[in-house]
Amino acid sequence: MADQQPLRGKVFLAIGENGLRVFSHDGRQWSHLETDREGVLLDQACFLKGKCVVAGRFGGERVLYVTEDGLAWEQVKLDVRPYVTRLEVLYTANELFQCILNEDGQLPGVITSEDGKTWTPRRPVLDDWRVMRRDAHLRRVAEGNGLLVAVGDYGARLVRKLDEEMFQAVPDAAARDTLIDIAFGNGVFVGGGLHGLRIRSEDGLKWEERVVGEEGEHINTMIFDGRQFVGIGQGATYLSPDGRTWERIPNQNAPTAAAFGEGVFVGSLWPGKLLRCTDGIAWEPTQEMPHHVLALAFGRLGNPSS
Amino acid sequence: MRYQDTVSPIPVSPIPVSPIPVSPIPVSPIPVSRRSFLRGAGVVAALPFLESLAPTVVRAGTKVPVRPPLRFGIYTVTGGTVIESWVPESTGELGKLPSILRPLEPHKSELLVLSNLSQSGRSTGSINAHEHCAYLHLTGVDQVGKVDGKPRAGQSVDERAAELVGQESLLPTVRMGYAGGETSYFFDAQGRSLPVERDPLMAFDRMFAGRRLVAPNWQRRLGRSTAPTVPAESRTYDKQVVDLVLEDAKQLRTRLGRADQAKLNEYLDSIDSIERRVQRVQERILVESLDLKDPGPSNPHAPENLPEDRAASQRFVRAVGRDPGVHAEYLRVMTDLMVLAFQTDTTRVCSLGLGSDEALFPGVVTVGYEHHAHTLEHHGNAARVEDADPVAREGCRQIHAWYSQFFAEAIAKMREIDEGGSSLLDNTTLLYTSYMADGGHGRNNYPVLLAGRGGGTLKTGRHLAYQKDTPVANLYVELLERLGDTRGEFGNSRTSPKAAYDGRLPGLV
Repeated sequence: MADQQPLRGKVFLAIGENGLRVFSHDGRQWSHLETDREGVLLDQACFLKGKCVVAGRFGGERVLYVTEDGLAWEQVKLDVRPYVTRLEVLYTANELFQCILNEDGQLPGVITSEDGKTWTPRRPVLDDWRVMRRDAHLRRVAEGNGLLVAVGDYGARLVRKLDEEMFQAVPDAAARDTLIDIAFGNGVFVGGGLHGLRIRSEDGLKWEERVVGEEGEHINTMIFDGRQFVGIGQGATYLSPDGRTWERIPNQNAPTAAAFGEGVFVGSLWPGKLLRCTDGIAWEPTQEMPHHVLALAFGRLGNPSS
Repeated sequence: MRYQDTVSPIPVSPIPVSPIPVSPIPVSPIPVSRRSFLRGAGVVAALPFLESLAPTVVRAGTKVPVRPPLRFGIYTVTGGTVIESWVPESTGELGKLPSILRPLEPHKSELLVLSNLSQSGRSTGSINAHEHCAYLHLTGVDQVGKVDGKPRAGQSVDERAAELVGQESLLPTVRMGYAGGETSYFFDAQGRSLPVERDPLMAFDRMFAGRRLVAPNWQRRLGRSTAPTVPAESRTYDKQVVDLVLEDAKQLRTRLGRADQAKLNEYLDSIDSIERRVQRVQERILVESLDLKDPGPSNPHAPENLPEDRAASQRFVRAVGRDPGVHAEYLRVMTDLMVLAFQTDTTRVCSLGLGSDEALFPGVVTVGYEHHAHTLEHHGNAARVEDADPVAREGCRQIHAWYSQFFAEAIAKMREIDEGGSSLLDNTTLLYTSYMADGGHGRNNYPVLLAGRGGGTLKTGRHLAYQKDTPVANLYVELLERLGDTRGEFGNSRTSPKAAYDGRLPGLV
């Protein structure tokens, strides 16, 4: 849009169908809306060193979009096997953008990039064939205690030290403990899942204090807000400082995806509804996008020194 | 043999289809119409079929209730469901329905849930697991595969049904759906895959272009001694063209080699089919002109959400797989078209192949990060349920509960359509099922439910559990018999390695 200025500073980003990308400083007013071809599905986003990288797919292609100001986007197409190679998780670690790639019947590998545009060749990150099912995806990653913990389908849980390359897997993870999201805070990893499932771990290998909630109260997002964990479930929000003791509070308009930053939660509900709240409980609609929002992220755009 | 329900004797003789009197004479109808009865009783929802309130005619000196003809509908949805959330825990009278069927709770007195029905047919050649399931789905044969790269199975149950009752209506059968490019469910008598109309506007035009929507007056129609005949002199332009084509083709045949003669014969068969169709259309015009003067009690109307033009209709179809809102509208409009086709006696056999493994379900699936049905189906299934990804399985459950809502709407609409003493649902058997038993390409214990009382040939409100892996083909035998089939077998009902119940399903009535 002609009247839009480059974005700088901390922003929320919502991404989704048809290449949807849109920013907000406060979770109320959204701007810098961009879309792409019909069928472009964007579902991963993260920020690092003032850059934002968004990932997704278009048919069999795996595509990335990179921006530093929310105005100019550069599109990158990963050189992978069409339809076969999956881009499962985009995250940051060790001051790098990282993507986990995988294919059915293979073990996951990682590619890394400093700028989101040029990526290293894929290298393996796991050599334990016992722990990843044939078509299992890794879905979420959290960093803390000098560790990187990844969770995925069929209860898959992997952990590696930040200064090591290979992950170690939890050998006895059960499908019933599949985690949808994971967060780190107060020295502990806490995951959330189906029917209010919550479980905690300090080292990513030993998981304990498993509790479940009410039927249907699926926790799609687990956030650490700087003080406590906020598990946003369908119908109730679960709060805990340590993943041990929980408070359940019925919520309204619970989103199916959410992000947190600067004391504000933003979320989305189909079709393209954006929501906002400050407690993870009372969600208020703010704007409706032309396409569905699949994921949200919070981070900083632009180099603070420039 | 394990059969868990104690009600209902095993039917051994063919069940007659709706009787069409040979020389009926209308007698004094009961002075209270069903509609008036309902109004008087302050009842808004349609009641079950009440024999005593049905219009009657005399045949051979005996009062025989005359019912509108039996219709047969197939409402099959994509992929695999979550069977533990689909099949009621107990057999016999239906209690609280499991979560996927819960949208059907208001209609459970109209439902007959059947469990432990399986497919055992093998696949040959290079077909994938989805094709294997799809080709077996409505054919129930021993073997499916491809010939020259094209699907090949046995005749599907809808096609056999059309052979039995198709000549009685304007179109022998109507197949709609496949918006997401599903693989073939429907096969002709030679086992060749049949086309399906995916565009709702095209489907509507094919059925109703040039016609006024009118509900048949079944009382009058069934009261006539013979069908109206087309005067010989009223040969239409279409008919004259057909005659000319046939004449030319017959002359050409004498000059052709054997292979070309075979091709020509196929062509002539199709022309002959057109000729018969023209004849049927002409007869139909006469019948409908009488209905227009004295219509049946219901008031058919075009679906409210029918696209305005071809371009809009095509855009609509293309968006089905991506947008559950559009998907929902598509399910509704196709369902409405099926109901309208039955209501207007455009066809008595209608099949809907709905949904798509490739569809996305954001907003329907409210758990996890995956909205793609195919991915959810694969992750949500395993050799043992406890090994499946529970998040994906919950997504599958949500998708199929969502489908059930639309099927429930179809039932509600059919219950409301008065056919002169009985509802359209009373006179229909609707098969609700899925082309795979589960998302892991399972073929054991399909979700199967019959809605409607099949003109009084089904005792609803129950769950019947048959012995494990009873052939699905047994069900098709039962359904076809209710349409007048006397073959007593279909697909692998007698040849399956799991053959049971002498190729039948006891206890349906």
